[in-house]
Amino acid sequence: MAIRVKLDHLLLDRRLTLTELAERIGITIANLSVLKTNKARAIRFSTLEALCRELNCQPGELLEWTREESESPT
Amino acid sequence: MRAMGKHSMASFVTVVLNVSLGLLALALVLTIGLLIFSPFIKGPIEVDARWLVVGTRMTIPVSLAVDPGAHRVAAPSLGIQDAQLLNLRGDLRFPTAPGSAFFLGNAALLIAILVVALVVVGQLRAVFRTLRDGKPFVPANAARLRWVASGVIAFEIMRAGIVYFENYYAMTRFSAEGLRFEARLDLDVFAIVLALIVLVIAEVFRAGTTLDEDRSLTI
Repeated sequence: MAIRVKLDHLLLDRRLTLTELAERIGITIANLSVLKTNKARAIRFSTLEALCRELNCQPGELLEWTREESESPT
Repeated sequence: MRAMGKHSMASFVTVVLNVSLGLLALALVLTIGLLIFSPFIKGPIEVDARWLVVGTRMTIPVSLAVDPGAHRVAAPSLGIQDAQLLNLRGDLRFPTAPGSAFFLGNAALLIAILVVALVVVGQLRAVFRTLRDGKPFVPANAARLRWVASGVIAFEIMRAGIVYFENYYAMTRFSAEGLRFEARLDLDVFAIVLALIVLVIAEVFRAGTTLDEDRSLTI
């Protein structure tokens, strides 16, 4: 997927574990793991808001767009 | 009674389909055995061209027309003197030699029909197992339903073809007083329409599976 979630970097910076973050934002570790491993299809605004609040960051710091090899520049 | 989950309607149908699958497999093994060993069998064998019956004679489906002069149909209490019997169908039973081409052809067609039936029932069983387990929206179910629908269409076309062939065989070789053997196409259009509906449902299922996957991967 071209959109990547940079959760691992932010967790490392904030010295937080996945379990702690999951507890703080109120979602399961399994779901957070789906997000961290970039397997998620979509993210709810409420989840994004909770993540930004707990990680003290902007959505842009959490998400990153990368060009896929199959995509050609327009 | 619940539709899905354990001790539900789906689990009951799963048991019925398990039994059906076992019976079909047994019928297939018996028919293949009959086909292989028929040249060595002395004496007559019975094969029902539609439903497997092993015995002493052969039974085939026939279509008949009644000669009104020979068989008068009337209802005197209603004042009806010239009623007509139309579109008669029945079974014709006769002795046959195990090694004859007609016998072998029938057994081969029966094997083909049993294989299609096994595929259909097997796929249907897999679908009902997911219903029993409470997880119907698995991607494989859409493909399974497509297999079921295609199998039902193939089964119906093969069955109609066999019935027509048997009708034609009886028409060209047998005669009966006051009756005329006919070759009629007995295609069950309703079964084919139902199969086409299942094909559409399979597509709905596929879309539902995608939506369910999207929902489960939305965090």
